[in-house]
Amino acid sequence: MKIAVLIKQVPDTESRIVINSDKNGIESTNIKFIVSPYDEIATEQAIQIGGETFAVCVGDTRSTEALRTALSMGIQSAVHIDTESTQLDSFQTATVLAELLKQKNVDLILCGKQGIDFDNALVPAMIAELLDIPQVLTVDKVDVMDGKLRIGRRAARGSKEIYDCPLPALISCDRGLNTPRYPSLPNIMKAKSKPIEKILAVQLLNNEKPLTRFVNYALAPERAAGKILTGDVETQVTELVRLLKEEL
Amino acid sequence: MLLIFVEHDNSTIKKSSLELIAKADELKLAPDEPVILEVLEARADAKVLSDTIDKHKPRIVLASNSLNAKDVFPKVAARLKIGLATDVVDLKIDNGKLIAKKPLYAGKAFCEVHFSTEIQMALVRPNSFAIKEEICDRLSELQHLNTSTLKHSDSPSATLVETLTDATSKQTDITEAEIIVAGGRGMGSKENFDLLSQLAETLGGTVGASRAAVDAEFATHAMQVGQTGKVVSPKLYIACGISGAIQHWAGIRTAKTIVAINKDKDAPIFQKANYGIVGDALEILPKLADALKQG
Repeated sequence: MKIAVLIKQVPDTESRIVINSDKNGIESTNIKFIVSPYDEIATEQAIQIGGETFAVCVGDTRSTEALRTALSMGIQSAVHIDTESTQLDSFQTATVLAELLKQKNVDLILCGKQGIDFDNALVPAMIAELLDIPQVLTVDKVDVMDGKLRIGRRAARGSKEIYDCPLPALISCDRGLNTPRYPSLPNIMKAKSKPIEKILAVQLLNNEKPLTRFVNYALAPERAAGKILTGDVETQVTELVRLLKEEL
Repeated sequence: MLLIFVEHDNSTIKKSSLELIAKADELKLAPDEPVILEVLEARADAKVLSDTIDKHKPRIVLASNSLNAKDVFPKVAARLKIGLATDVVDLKIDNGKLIAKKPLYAGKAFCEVHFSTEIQMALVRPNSFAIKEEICDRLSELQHLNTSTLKHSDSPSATLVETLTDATSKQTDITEAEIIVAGGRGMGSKENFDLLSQLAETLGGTVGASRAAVDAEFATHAMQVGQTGKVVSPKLYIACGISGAIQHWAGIRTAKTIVAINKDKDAPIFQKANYGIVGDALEILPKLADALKQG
């Protein structure tokens, strides 16, 4: 099977966020960048399913670090779609990825359900639409049977849905699907010489313009420090009940 | 014209949809601008929804940021090349166009989403807006409600083979809950989570859990609150035996009132909670439930 894994490079959750002077992005100095965790899960799943695997990342030059991580886990090759200094919106990102994926003729596309930076959850379904292929999103179980997929995902009220999905298809991955492996030292060394193909995003964009722009970035207001209730347990409970009745 | 896709639970319109209907009044460009309601079912077809939007030619399309909506609206956006903002927490009109506000970086920052398209679409987080009491919640009684009967597309798709329901899960979806009582690893066991259920029942709330509690199998993933669980926005969040790691905080940032109960006085959660009790949740929870029942 030929499998494409779509990964996004994002700031680590622990990073301190500083808004840039144009208020349309963040300062990237002092930020630890990682492969978005749901994309790591997708990468692990591709390796477990096996076959011909490659990872794709849309972003600036720093993206190659994210691709090396995927290669270190065991992905065979990678493609960097270089956005140079431009910021693409979700639709443009989906457009360039769909264009590349059309050229690569894949059986299965795996990606995380959303990037943990923006939590948009837009690109996966947009790609499925642009390629006119079946999709199942936020998946936590995948089995390959007879060239089809048997897929499970959590739905409303703790229920679980089971799908049968023909190939080619796109699956977006949720926590619970697998536990991504730590790259072994031999694999990290091997990854250094695995090929990363580079394509300019502008060559795949078909002149599509952004449908949305993210502007006026601002830090979230800090919550005021609260108070620790004092006294013995009975006193604390009584005081809490009083406060809750006021609030509610 | 505003087009709102409404979701229901056995013919009762969901509160998250009622919030959108209420908010629509503030987004009109003229007092008599029509608001049309359509029903969004699970596994809705992107072509059908796109044809519906083409038919109505709305200025603004709204839906809740639900599983059903996230399955289909991105496809509609790509198909019709319409701007779509997701995980939205606020909406306003500026120069006749919709502006959506959404959180970024696990809620550490916010941005505005500006649209370059004539139609603006937004999927809104539950508990973002107040509802108006006079709007009825019975599907059957809303006069201008349509259910699309347009033809489905012939595109290849996945087939739903089976739905396994969790018979034990009768509680509200935590993303829509107004009151959440949550437990962490400090609760110690699955049995101790019953104390949370009892308090939740007294308050009319729902039980949640931290990732540590879910990993320890005290609770199911459906109850998990946090960056890799669900983001919630209740009026009241009571965190019991939860240390308050940054990933958990990401899920509760916008809760109105946070109460923390933890044995560890240095637990990070005390820095962000409105009220804290340093103590054993197992001892305090039953007393709290009793005191609330009496008052």
